[in-house]
Amino acid sequence: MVKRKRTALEKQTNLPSLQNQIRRDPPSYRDDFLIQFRHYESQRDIFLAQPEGYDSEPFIEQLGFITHVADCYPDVTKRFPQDLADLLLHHHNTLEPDLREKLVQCLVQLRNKDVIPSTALLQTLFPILTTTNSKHLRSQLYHSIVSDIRNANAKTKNHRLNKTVQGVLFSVVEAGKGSPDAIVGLWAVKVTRELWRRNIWDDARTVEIIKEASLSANAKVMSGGVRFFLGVDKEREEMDESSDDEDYNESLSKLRHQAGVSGKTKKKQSQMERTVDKLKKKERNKHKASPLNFSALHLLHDPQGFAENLYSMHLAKSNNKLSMEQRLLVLQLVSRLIGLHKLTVIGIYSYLLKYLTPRQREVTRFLVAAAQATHDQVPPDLLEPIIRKIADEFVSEGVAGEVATAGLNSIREICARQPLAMDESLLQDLTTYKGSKDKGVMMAARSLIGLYREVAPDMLKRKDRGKTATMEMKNKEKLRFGEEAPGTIEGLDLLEKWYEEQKQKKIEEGGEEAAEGEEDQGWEGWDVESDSDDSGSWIGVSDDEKDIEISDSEDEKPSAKAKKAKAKENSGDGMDIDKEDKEESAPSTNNPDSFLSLATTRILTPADLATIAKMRAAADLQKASSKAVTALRNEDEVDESLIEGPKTRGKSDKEARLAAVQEGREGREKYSSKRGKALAEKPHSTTNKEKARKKNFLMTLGQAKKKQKRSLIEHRRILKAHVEKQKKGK
Amino acid sequence: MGSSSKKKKEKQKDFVKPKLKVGKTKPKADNHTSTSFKAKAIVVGHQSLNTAAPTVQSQLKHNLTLLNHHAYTTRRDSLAHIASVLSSSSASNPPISYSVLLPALAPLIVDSTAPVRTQLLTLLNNHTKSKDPRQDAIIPADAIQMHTPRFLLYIHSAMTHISADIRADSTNFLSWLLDVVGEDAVRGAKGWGKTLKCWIVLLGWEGAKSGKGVRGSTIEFSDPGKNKKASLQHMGVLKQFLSTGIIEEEEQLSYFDIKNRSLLLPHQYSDAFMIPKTSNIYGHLNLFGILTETVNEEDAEGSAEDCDSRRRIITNVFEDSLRTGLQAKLQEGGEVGRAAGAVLKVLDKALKTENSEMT
Repeated sequence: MVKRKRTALEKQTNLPSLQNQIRRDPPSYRDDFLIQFRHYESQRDIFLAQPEGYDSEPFIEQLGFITHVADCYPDVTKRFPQDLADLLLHHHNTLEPDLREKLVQCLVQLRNKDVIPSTALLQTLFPILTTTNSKHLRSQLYHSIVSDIRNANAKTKNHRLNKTVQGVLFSVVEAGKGSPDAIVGLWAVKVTRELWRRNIWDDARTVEIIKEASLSANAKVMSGGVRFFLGVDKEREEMDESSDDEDYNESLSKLRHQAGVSGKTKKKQSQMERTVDKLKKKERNKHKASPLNFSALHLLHDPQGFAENLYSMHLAKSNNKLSMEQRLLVLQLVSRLIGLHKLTVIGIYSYLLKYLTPRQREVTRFLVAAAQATHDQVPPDLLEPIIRKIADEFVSEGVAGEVATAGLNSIREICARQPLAMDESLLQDLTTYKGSKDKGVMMAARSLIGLYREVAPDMLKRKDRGKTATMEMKNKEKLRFGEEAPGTIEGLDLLEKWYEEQKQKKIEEGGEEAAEGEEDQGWEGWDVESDSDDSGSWIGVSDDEKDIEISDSEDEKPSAKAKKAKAKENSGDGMDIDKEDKEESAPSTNNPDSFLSLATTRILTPADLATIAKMRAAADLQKASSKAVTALRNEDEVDESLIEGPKTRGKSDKEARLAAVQEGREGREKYSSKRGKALAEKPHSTTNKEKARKKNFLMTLGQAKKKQKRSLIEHRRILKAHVEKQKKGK
Repeated sequence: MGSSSKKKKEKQKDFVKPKLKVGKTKPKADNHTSTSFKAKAIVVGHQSLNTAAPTVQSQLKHNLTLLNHHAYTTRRDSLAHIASVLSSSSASNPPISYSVLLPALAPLIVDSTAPVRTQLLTLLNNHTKSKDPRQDAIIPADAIQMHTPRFLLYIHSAMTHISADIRADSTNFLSWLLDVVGEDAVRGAKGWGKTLKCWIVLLGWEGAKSGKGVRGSTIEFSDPGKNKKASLQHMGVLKQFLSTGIIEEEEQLSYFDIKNRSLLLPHQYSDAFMIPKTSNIYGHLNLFGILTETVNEEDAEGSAEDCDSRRRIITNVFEDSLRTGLQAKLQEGGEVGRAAGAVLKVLDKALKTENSEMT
């Protein structure tokens, strides 16, 4: 760049103008910058000579200036970032708040200008975050750290940076792991949680940090880590859902309105275009497949070891200083881990036993934990005492309805996961509560019956079994411990049924061939040709038949010739299939293997899968309305409300009831006639009603007297006329 | 029609806007509440009944706090007050501790207004140098010496200040400091290397080293009349600075000294192993400082405790820039050129002695 002699004309009087000029033409203003840089150095020295009671305003201004133009003279300002970092690191407790804030800002700005790398920034800020006493500075640092990592990951994941930061956080957590006073790890957990929530970090290494934090001796750090596992995935989903598409829609409509009302300017037009673009992009993203998000619990390495450590560190030790709430959190996490990964932590069942009494504080959460910690690989011997204790303590004549409800519900939840934990006589005892007057107890007992009708009807009393369960009893094998059911595709039976119906319809409408062609249509637009056959028999592929082609391009459709050949082949045994299908369709509801045949004989087309989804949704709706017990899975969280049962409203005093009524009325319009409202809006003359009301009393007397003197005939006529009038009016 | 519309009208009345008229007072609002009250007497809670004037000390203290006042006249006046108090007192009985007074005065070197700076300079010149050699100055040199680093810091700040006026005045203060404390002002990294750096940027000679040629600082072009004066003054102070820094005062050794030395010290290099004459020879290592300054630009901020090391720093780092700048001034001619020539002579003399010593 050619050096321009422009500086000669101007006199530098203030930093902003000099900054502006330097930005335009750095080489020409080098000398002026040098003066200012030396000035900064002398200011810094003055500050260092006397850190307290220093008037920092000119220094702040100087810092801002140097930061803004630092990238123009990299050779001069080589040490500048390091200076700032040192100042902050050594004096952050004595610095004036304004100056401190400015220093952090300057560092972030230097990072944004790419003068220093992200790692350098984080290495400066993180130690201060963990040591400073100032709340304000902490929040500033925290926000700048998080936003810096976010920015670094904005376009693509910056794996190198993430790895280093995660390494730093991990070491921070690990360093404070042993001592109960080290609170440093809390910030690591906080940062990690924020980044996880924003979907920036979603790998196993992140989870490892939190895992380490959960095993920390410090109660705060530990509970931070445990809360992460329990709640963060929900948070992340909420975050995704509450993205700001409504805002866009609103702003778009507003902009459109404004465009109609006020004048058209270029700015407004471009604003509008931008918003529309954003909306379109959003729409496109919506249809895109979302990236796989594994929950934090699934990403754990060695969940068994983790659960055992958690249990032995925080629960098994009797001299633990943890509060009840913290212990409950740990218990919740351990039980969740056990349920999710089907772990074996034997100690937890006896630990739980201690707390299962109605007088225990937060007993529902203990009951939830007991249910969550159950899965089909837990030996029934371990669970039997728990169920026995719950039955003894919670479910008896002497206790309140809510208690019995909670007990029965938790027994049901446990048995849904491990039916073998129940013994026959106890079950039959418990089912007698189905006649209870308390609604919650009655419902809980019934749901228990419903559950055992499905899994082991022979354990129920004869009268409780019900018709269908009794009929199915012949086919049911006795439950055995450790038995794995063969895997199925959910909803496949529904698909089979649907096919059946479709076929019937087609046959009624126009022959069989149409029905056959249907199956191929499912693959339209998909590049793999279906080569399986409904009959389930093997097909011999001869040399001259060239209908099995696997093409790569999408728009290439199976050749017409091949289709025809296939149709012919199929039509030959079409009748047999039909018959077979009909035969199969009758027992399909009873025999679980029958619908598996569909999965083993043909490849499901995307159209099939879509149909399955639809059918399942419909079936679920039906089920929900018929209050059937849905199959429970060990992976799911147990909701506390499931255990507590339906809440009955207690008798409250009049004020409370009135308050409830008032609450219902809030935001509701007052009930009144529409006509009255319409009239109130505009000024109007007196209505007939008003006139009638205000009519002089004496004037109405005659009418009233006449009314009394009416004959019956007259009266009838008047009534009839009124009815007539009413009819006409309608 | 009757009552309904009448009621409507009544209701409407509340929302009618009152009309404002030019020249009429604004009508009071409906909810206006008068807060005026009458009283028979007004009693002031605290009233000073002290008839005696405040002591000199308390007044001085008050004036010291006023040195930070935002109005420059106040600052100037309080400086004048301090000066008057000082001149009426003697060195043996100072009205205020120097360790309070001097740190408060130092920041005014970078004061934004010229009158305050002039006032400060007169105060310092009048009360730190004694006109009569038999009498001590009111503020003794020892006190200034103790606060030299602080004064130097502010002088550096002034020499690099963005305001040209402050920069122009800065060397006056340096000159004063050199006068009062002599070699102490150029000792150490802060005193020598740092000040030289500031000199270079003040005079705009930074480009000489990188071969970009000398460019006058922005002062030169902005205000020719003032500039010549400032430039001349800068040259004078630079000469003073260099001669204080790198020209050794010949020690007058008496015959006895020499004889004693030769008797006591058996070897000619024994000096090197003796306890050093200067203080703080390891200052450049910054053993107790917090901010670790790595020694950059070869050796600019290295130890500058004695003449030799200062000379070395000049030759290693600053000589090229200085010479090129001075030559340019010399070629300009006039008074400034002559002054630059004088500076060059000092430089030549000092460096020649070194060379001759080396050979």
